[in-house]
This record gives sequence, C-alpha cells and structure tokens, in this order.
Amino acid sequence: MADLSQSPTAGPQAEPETEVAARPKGPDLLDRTWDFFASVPVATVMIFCVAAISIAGTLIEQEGQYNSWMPPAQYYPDRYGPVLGPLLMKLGLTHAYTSWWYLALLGGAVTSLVVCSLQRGVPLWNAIMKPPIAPVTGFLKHLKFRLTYAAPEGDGLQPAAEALRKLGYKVKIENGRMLAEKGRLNRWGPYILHLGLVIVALGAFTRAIPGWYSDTTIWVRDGETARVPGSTWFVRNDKFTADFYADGRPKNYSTDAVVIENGKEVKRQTVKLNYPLAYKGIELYQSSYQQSLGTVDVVLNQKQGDKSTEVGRFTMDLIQPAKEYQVGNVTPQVVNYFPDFSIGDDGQPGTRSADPNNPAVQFKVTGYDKPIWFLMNYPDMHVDPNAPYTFSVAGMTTRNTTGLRVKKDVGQPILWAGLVVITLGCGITFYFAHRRIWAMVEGGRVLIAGQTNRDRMSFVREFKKLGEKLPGTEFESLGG
Amino acid sequence: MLTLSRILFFLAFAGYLASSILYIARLTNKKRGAQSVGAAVASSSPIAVDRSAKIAGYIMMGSVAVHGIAMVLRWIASGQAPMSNMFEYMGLTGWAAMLFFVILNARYNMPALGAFAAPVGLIVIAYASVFPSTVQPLVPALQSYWLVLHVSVAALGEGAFAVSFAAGLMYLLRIRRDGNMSEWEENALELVFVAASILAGFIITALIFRASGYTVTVPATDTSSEMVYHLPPIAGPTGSAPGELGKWLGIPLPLFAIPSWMHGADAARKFTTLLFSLVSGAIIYWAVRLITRRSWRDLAGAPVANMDASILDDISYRGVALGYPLFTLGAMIFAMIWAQKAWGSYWSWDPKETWALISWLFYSGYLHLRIVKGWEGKASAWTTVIGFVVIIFTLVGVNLLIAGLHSYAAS
Repeated sequence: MADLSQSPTAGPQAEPETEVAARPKGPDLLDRTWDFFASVPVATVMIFCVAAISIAGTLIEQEGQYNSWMPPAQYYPDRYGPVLGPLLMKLGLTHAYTSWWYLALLGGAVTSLVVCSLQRGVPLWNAIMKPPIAPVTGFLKHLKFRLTYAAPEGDGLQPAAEALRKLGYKVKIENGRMLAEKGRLNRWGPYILHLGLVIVALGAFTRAIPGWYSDTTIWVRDGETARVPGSTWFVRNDKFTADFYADGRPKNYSTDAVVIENGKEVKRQTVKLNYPLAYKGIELYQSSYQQSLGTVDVVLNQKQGDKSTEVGRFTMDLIQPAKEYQVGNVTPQVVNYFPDFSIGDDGQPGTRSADPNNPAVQFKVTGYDKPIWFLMNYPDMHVDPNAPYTFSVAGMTTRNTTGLRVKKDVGQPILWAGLVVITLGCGITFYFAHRRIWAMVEGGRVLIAGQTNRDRMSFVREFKKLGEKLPGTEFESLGG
Repeated sequence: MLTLSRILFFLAFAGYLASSILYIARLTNKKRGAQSVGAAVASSSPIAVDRSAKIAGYIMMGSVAVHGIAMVLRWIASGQAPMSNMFEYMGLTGWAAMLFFVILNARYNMPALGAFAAPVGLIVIAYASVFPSTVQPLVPALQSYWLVLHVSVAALGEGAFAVSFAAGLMYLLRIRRDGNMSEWEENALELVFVAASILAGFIITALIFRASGYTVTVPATDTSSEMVYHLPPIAGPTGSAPGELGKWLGIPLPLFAIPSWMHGADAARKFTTLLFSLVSGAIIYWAVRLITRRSWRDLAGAPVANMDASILDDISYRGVALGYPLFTLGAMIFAMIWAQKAWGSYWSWDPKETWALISWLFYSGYLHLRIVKGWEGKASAWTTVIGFVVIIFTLVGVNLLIAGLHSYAAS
C-alpha cells in the first residue's frame, strides 16, 4: 500500500517532486469502487476484520475439528444450546474459514492490496526512477541533513563524489550538480511484499482448479499393496512401526513404503512424520495407524459326551483365510467368513466391514451336516450344542494398518515462490533504507544535503563520516 | 552438563533481576534528586546516574550471554534443541526480549527503557521457570530441524514485540502527564498493571508450592480422569464433595465443585490455578497501592515524566519494525513449510496457526496505521500494547484454553 518505510520521527517524507495520484478514468461507480479499495484506512479496517473473525473461528469449535462422533446438526445444539447452536450454523460460524463472507472479506483484502499498490506504486515509480539531479535550491535548504565544505580549485564536486562512491553510493553529475543515491530498492520493499502475498493467494486458490488438488487417506495393511488414488502407481506397506518412550509418549511412527509402478519397484522410503514420500507430483504422509487382528491360532476340539479332547491346532489368517485346514485327520472347511460379524436388519448374518474386528467363521467338518459357528470374540458361545467339534482360540497376532495421507497440490510451488518473495520484500522493507544526497556549488563552498526514508540514526553516522572526509567541513544540520 | 546449564540459567535470572532493580532504582533516585535539589541541578549531575545505568547495562549483557550459554549447554547435553516445551520456549522468548533491549539500548542509549523492558523479559523468564525443566524426548512431529528454525525466529520476533510493548507503555505513561487521556484510557492503563500483578501472582504461588513439593492427587471418577494438583484443590471436579480432599490452612478441600458446564480436560485444576492467580495478584496489586497510596500508573509514570515522548514512540515502532519480518518468517513462513512437511498441509486453521495469523494481521494493521496521519503517538502506542496482549494469548492462552495440533506445547 503506501510507503511503509517512512521514518515516523522524520515526519512526512519531503519529495522534490510532486506525486500526483494516478487514477484511471472511467464511469463514476468504477471510480468510486477504485477509491474505496485504494484507501489505506479501508484496507486496514479489512485487515482488522479478518483478524476479528478469525478469533471467532478459534473460539467456536469448528466442523471437522471438534472431538465428537456427532454430526454437526446434532453436535452444535448439544454443545451450544438449542438457540445458539443452530444460529451459529446458520451464520456459518461453525465453518468460519470457508464461509462465503470470510472468503469475500479475504477477497476484498487482496483486491485492496492490489489497488493500493497500483495507486501508489505507479506514481512512485516515476518519482523514484527519475530523481531530479538539480532540484530547486530551496528544496535542498529544507532537507534535515546539510553540510558545506570548501570547494577546491577546478571541479568542486569531485571530493564529495569520491567520498560518496566509497560509502557505496551511485553518483551522477550533470551541469555542476550532483546526486548520490543508495538503497533505492527499499522503496519497492512494500510492493514486493504485497506481490508475494498476491502470489501466495493465487497459489492457495489453485486448489479450486479441477484436478490440481486432492486430499485422501488410504489404509494399507502390513505386507499389502494399495493403489494410490489419482495416480498410476501403487504403494506397498512392508512394515508399519510404532515406538514409544518409557513414559508412554510416542517416539516414532513410520511406514516402510515401496512405490510400485508397472509391476516394478521404483522407490523405497521410510515414510514418517516430517519425512513424506514424494513421487510424480503426489506426496504420501504418515498420518495415522490402526492395529487389528492378523492371525489367530485355533484349537480344534472333539466332544465325546462331557469330555472334550484336542484334535490339533491350525493358524488362520483373518484377512485371507484358506479354504480348508488340515488338523490331524480332520479337515475343517471354511464355508462362510465374516471378518466384522453382525446380524443385519433382515436377521441374516453379515459383515460390517472387511476389517477383522469381530471375526466369525462357519466351518464344515466331514461327518457332520450342519456348519459349525466359531465366534472368535465369544469363544464360549456355542450356537449348535449338538455339534461334535468345538473351536477355541489359543493365541492371536496383531497386524498394523498404516494410514497414509495422499496429497496432490499442483499449486504448491507457486505458494512457496510467494513465500520467498514475501521474505525478500520484508527484508528489503525493514532492513534497508533509501538515501539520497544532492550537492551544488554555491560561491566558494559546496552545499551537500541529504535525506533518508528510515533509520535516521545510522544516516547521522554516515553523514558525519562523509563530513570528516571533506575539506573544511561545516555541519549545518544533522537530522534535528 | 545439564546441571551446569541450570546453574547458568539461575545465574542469568539473578542477573536480570539485579539489572531490573538497578534500572528501576536509578530512575527513582533521579526523581528524588529532582525533587530535593530541583530539576536544573539534577540534570547537571548525571554522572552517578549514568554509572548505575552502565553497571545495569553490563549486568544485562552478561546475563544475556550467560543465558545464551545455558541454552547451548542444554542443547548439547540433551541432544535436542531446547525449544520443545513451555519452559524452554518461554525462556527463549524472554532471552530474545532482553537481547533486543540490549541492541536498542546500544543504539539509542536509553537506559530508562531498561526499567520497563527488563521487568517484562524477567516476567516472561520467571513464567518459564514455573514449568517443569526436565528434558523430555521429542514426539515424532517435533523431530525436525524446522523446530529450531520456526521456534527460534518466531521467539526473536516476539522478543522484539515485547520491547515495543514496553516502550509503548512508557509512552502512554509519559503522555498522560500532559493530561490528554480519557478516563477510559486511564483505567485501561491501570488494567495493564492489574494483569501484570495477576501474572506475577501466578508465578509466585506456582513457584512457592512447587518448591514445597505440594501435590494432591484426585482419583479418577466416572466423569473425570485422574488429576494432579500442584496447588491446594480449592475447586474440585464436578460432583466432588467439599472437604473430601482434606484441609489446607483450615480451608476444606475442595471448597466447592466446579459446575458441569465447565468441561474440558483438567478444568477444575485450571480453575483452581486461576483463582490462586487472581487472589495473589489482587494481594500484590493492593499491597503496593495501599502502602504507597498511589495508583500503579502514577508510580510507574513518575520515572518517565521527563523523557522524550517522541523517542519512546520511535523505539516502540522500531521494536515492531525489527520484530515484524522475524515474526513473518518464523511464525508464518517457516510454520507453513513445517506444517506441510509434518502434516501434509501448510495451513489447516489450527487454533495456534490462526492466532499466529491474527497476531500477524494485527501488526500488519499497525504498520499501515502508522503511515496514516494521526496514528503516531497515543493510538500507535495503544496498538503495540494490545498487540503484545494478542501475542501473549497466542503463546499461552491458546495452549491453556483452546487445544489443537500444538497441544504438546502445553507442558
């Protein structure tokens, strides 16, 4: 927006040129809209409004961030009461950062940023890029840094030009007048900073372009391979590891991942927090994990009256059970397998999911017509008391499932570039100063007058140093 | 080496304290001189005054160096950057505040600033020492070099904002002498000192009870999990009966159970802490007020009465001008890069993130107002004071009141 870099104590920056605000000519409404967005107070109010609404968003629990299983329509009346809850939802405060008015305000702030920069940047360009070498004498006499020195024979400006070049100034001499300049870039600092913000906004906005952004989570069991959505490649989870410190806090979550493309292994990497796997524009992040049953050691018992004797044991994979198992000379066949057993609304047995949360099997054993139920989470429950065989659990192993966040964000490099520009703009704005020094011969002496747009203190030192290098210096004013 | 680090930390703290006292004493002496001998004589005998300023300055510089060494030793001894919990983080922020005071003092030669900036840094560091100083190994999310970049640069920025706050506060105390402050502003100014008293009250009670090793464990119930109080549990969890936890100074514990609408983890414990802070803060505040028979703003305003308001205004702005780029880089840009690496999303509207954005927007607004005519001086000074309140809320309030992805920072 306007020139942030002015030193506050120096007062309004004196410019040798008059800066006329350039305003595009157009219909009255457009004119007024432009003026509205070009106003720094308006921009500042918008900035404070964005901040204020952001506060509301952190105080009201946001959809997707609250800690409850309830859907929003149920959660908010429960949390904030029957009046306030629905009201907050209606106002969009329960998803403040994606509500239309928040986005509109952000859009307004960005528009204002662009308009303000243009409004002030264009005239500033002319003023800064073509500084007058010979401003009127009155202007020089009003500058706050002035000194005179005895002009030597011949070219009186020469000692000043030499000294200023040594101090890092660019010196121009024309028709007996001199202009030395340093740090002109500083004047562009705020504009560079604003440009960076616009680039960041654009980078974030690319998410709206179809196909540029996706964010999903895939679950891959140890040893299994899954297709990565939105890509042509697969990822295999060789092993998920969760380590903990002695006090129970997590130490490490990682997945030994293998990228497989066209049936070939193309990349191997341990994916963990802070170390995502990137391949062909898609990134995989370690985001969560689940532990579920892997295999179970089943004991087959034969009933004879009240007595029950063990026939033998077999290990059953709960993800992909075999069709039949050989135990001694008995061959139990898997007729039906329900990894996540439940009774459906129709009264029929079914499975809620493919995860072995509540595994149940119907075995067929030669010599008995009916299938025998085996509910692993309820081993004492015998559905058919007449069955000649029973099954029981001798042991279980668990298996980890890693949760990988699959992220595609094509616009990311734009955003990073914007952040670099912001950093540069910030540094240039706040850590550099634009200094100009004019000189002219007046009688037997040379008048030197200078100005800085910020950091008066170090300009005082520099100006003193300059004076010491010149013959017969008399300081007229040192910024006071 | 960890023990040596602790000793150095303590030494630095003592140094900050000594330096703060010297800076304040120096100003009160000067004032006395002015009263008894007259302003003209007082200003012609600045030698003694300057000597104590010099000594305080050297102690300050030495303490900053010792504190710096203490942090480096802790880093070496623990093998991880000392920036991962509240003790380490607040210590770093306090150090940054002191560092910027030393830098600005070297540049402006304004020891009077020390009477305000040094206590602000001191309170931040004292606040740090309330938290357990044990080295805790890092959870996976923190195992990244971005921890160092993000935290250290953000802390430097916040340290500069702290100095800006101190100068802004001094400016307000200075110009109220000219009588152009409304009743409302006078009260707001006093409120700053009330808040500082409450914070001091919290620190002092927490340190006293910790030094005496006081703990009360409230066993888990149907509605709440086990809680360990380090202060007498005045407020018990919902459903607890008064007196069931014993007595403290004849007061039955708990005195009352918190109402059921105060849910959230450890609500009863946090409420107890709040009560203790309020009561001890009120004692500190009123003790000083009753003994001196003057308001805090009068007391604090006396030493700055003769200072150049425009220089204070400039320092306050300088603090923001120094801190803003650092805060932008550390708290916004590095934070976004790290969030992208760790969580897969550079921005997820986590409360801590959002509050960092709010602080950033606030100071952005300040910088824009600064260039609009009429926003130098009083309004500008108020903005830096409020800005620091926003920063403190971002650092501390978010952790205490709103949980989020940064929850590990609460301990």
